[in-house]
Amino acid sequence: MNVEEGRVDRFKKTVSPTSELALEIMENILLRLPVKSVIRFKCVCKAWHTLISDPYFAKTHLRLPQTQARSRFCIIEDGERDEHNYMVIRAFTEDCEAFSDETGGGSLAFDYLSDIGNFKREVVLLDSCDGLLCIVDLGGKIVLWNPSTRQYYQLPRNPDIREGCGCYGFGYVSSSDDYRVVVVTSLINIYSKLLVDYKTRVDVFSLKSNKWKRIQKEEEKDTGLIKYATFLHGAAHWIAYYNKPYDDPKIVAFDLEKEQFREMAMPNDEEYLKVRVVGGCLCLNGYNDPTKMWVMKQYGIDTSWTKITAPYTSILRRSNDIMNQQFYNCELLDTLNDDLLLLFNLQKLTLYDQKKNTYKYLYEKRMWFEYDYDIDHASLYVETLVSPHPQL
Amino acid sequence: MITFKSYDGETFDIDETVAVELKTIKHMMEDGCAGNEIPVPNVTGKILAKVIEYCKKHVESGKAEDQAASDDLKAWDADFVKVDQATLFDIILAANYLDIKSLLDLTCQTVADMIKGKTPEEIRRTFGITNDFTPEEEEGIRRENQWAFE
Repeated sequence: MNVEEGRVDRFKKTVSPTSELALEIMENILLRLPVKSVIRFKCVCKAWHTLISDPYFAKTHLRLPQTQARSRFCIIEDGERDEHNYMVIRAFTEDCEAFSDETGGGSLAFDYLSDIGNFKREVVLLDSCDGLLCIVDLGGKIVLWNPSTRQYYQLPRNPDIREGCGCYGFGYVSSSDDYRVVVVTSLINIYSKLLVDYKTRVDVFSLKSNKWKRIQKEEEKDTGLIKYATFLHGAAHWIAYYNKPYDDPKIVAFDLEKEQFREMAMPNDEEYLKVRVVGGCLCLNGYNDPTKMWVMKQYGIDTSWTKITAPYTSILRRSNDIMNQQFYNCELLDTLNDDLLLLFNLQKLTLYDQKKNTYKYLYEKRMWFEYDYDIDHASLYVETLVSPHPQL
Repeated sequence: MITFKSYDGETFDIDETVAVELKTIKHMMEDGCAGNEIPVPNVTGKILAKVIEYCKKHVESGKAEDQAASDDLKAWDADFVKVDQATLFDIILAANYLDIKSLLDLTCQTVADMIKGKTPEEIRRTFGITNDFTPEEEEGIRRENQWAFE
């Protein structure tokens, strides 16, 4: 055996999968791989399979700065074909940052809906958290999906939640290491014309225990929550329009750990349908006038709502061609870094570089003859190995 | 000035500012366990030379703060890892033993980039790993995640 072979042999002996050193070093290397490669390497040997399948590996991978730094997007396309509603959930497997490069482009996508069976009308991308997307439909079906590993889990039905009546939120409780879905149902009991009582009931699903739990308090609340919440700082946030006509709308937040509601004031100069998280802050996009934007610069401080001019207003104004309404009703989805903004509307998903004042379409809605698909929802997610299944 | 002595008897005179980059050595020095000549039993002279070269370069460049210097250092690092596989693996082991985080990061990332597109069979050959799955077990895992193999 020559010297070179001897050295490689010595390394191989040291990194034979049974040695602790080997696994420690291999873990360091494996954590740096794209998820697709890591999944593929599960079948290399039993030690690797155990290492990669361990939830601890997924957690470590999730917390790496390079994991957090890259974003991908997912959309729901909704259209009609042959008088049937046809919905497609498409996950893009290219990082958004790759698109901003001149050479970057060409999206890789795969259609997910076919795997999971029938969804009823109005499928919604509720929110994403740690690479898990939560998908709900009007029938009350809730699915947790990791597009990077292609694993999904349909939550057990909660028979107490009536179809179409829930307001949904999805998030993570770090102290219990648990992903939770919260459903707020408003119940109106009409006893007579004068005697109407409003009750709000809250049900929370814990992925860790794979169980639904009723939060006991059935409070008197006459709030009308907008259906879908956004998760930030441990709480799910809805916009609430009160039934009494002169009340200001508010942001209602449900703390998933403490299981308590709190309210925050919000600006009232425009109609807002959804609160989003942009650059780590709560953000409101005007529905009628999308250039009207408010950002809550300091979370929880009502006075920190700051009005900003939507950074892409200049392109909105530049569009002289009325028929070419590519920025019509654009909503700011998120900022990728200080310069890049991700915008979307029914027609297109746009990446706008505000430093260079250039834009690029990441995705355009499909229009084939009579088939017309709108982009109904869009969400960003990170590529992770986090499992959507209960840890049993 | 500190002297390192490799596994095969080669000696290297190192400035103290460079020596402390090797955290294992730094701790030895702090604990008073190090004499004038520090033995490095797990690392050959050839590899120790490379490790010292890396640490020297990074200590020198640590003083410059601009983008151009940072880009230059990245380019230097990229060249540094252009070695044969056996040497690369040896540097990883040395960086791990001597606790030099940035070198360990660099070399592990290099290996990761090298293997990311490989098939499981190629991985086994690269690292000398025996497949301890039965054919049925392996087939089961492949079927579960078919998309990853396309």
